[in-house]
Amino acid sequence: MWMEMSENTTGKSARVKILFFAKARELSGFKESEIVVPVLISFIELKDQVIEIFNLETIRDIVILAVNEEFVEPDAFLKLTEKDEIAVIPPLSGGTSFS
Amino acid sequence: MADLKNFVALEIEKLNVNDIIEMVASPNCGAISTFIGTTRDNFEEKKVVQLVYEAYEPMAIKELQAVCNKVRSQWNVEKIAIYHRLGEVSIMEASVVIAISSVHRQESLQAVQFTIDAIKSSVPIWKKEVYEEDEPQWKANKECFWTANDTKIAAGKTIKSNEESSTNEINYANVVVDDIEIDLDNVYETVEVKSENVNNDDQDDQDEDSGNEEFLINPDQIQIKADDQELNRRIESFIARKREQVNLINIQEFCCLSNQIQDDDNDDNTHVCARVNATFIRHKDVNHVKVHRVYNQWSQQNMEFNAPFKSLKNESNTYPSALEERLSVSEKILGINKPVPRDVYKRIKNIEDRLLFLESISPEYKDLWSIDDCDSVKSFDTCNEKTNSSENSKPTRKRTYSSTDPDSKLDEFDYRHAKIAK
Repeated sequence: MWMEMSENTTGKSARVKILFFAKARELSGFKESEIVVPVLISFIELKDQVIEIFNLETIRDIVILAVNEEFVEPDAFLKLTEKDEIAVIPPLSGGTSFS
Repeated sequence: MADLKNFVALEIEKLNVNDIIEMVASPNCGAISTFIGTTRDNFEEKKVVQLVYEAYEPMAIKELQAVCNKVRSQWNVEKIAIYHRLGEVSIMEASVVIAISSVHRQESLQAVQFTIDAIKSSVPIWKKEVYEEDEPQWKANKECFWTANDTKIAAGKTIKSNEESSTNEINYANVVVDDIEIDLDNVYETVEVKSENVNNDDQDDQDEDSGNEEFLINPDQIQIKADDQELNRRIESFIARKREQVNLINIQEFCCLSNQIQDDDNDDNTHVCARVNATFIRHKDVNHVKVHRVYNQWSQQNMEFNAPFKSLKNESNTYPSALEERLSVSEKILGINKPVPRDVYKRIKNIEDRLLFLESISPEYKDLWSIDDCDSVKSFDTCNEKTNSSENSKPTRKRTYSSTDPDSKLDEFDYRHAKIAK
């Protein structure tokens, strides 16, 4: 399934796969989905769109995104293709709970 | 360099620590260091009944490999094994096992420490704690690299300009993470120590022109990554905490006797001065007056052998029994009527007065009597039983006798004798 984005973009759009983990998965209700986003997009714009569409407002300040299994810098500008895979990454909690 | 010596995996099954340690064993190594993270059954006094781990698996494997590379770039280690559990993990089971072998122990020990920190900071694995009573909760590592520095991330490139406004009084507070690189390999290299005048301009040549020096520092030496404000806050609270500890020790060491004179609030040790062992006394009705009482252990009154006198100061009836007995017997013999004053000094004064009075009316001291006194003695005799009532006793005490009186009598006597002798 995929969702239509607003048409305020110049140039082409791409349909990309998006993955959700942990809290983000629970809030969006998806483990995996697809969105259509402009091919040229900044991290901030991409994050805004993802948060709006998938109802992630409550964790806006703590999530970051990964594209193709790489963390994205907050000031990055992305060039996406249809094959790309976006992941919504909540704060990590691997390892153990020792302080 | 030919064969890869990194073993990283995410496992659903229970981890076998022995197998993992055997993987990294190597004939040329003198040390295998391990870290085993186990699940525990409590979090902030909440009972944890179940833990569930979830990972972005392909990326987690990639990041674990990156951690291995990072370790190898810093330490000379032989083999690295990192195994992490996924799915449900029972309490007390290993959720992560790290084993690293090296020729000498120093390297592998340090590498293990670094590895677990790096995993918690950058490997996309998540843990959900299911509590007995509360809602299940997704946890967050404090090492997680973007939340730990989220002010930086949020501010992005504007961090530099903010730094200018903060005062840089303490030099080591100036260690700032500048332009955090997401690539783990670069994270540590981008930490820069900046001189006091942080230039707002991003261009490097400008920085050099204005005399700013930026240099890379060894990642091993970085312990804290935080902005100036946060560092200052930590330093301040550290100082405050130490001060509190010192104060507490001082109170315990020097104010051990303060409790004796704090009748009202015995357990309140905060209002005492350690140095002079003075106690701040809070008055219930006159709050605006601060009263400090110094308890001098070495004064005569407070020395141990004078202890009974301390209790006498309190106008209570609890004299030592021997003293009470002597006083009451004296009073009885002298015919002083009850009730007697509670204050022991008034009581003694009464006895003295009575003695003087009795002396003054005694036949043995007849020569000392004045005519007036003689009259009053008669009146005293008539109301003998009311001596203690002030109205009747006062007139009898009109005249007092000093030690010079007998002397003058003697002189007079001598004078007469001398006359007779002539």
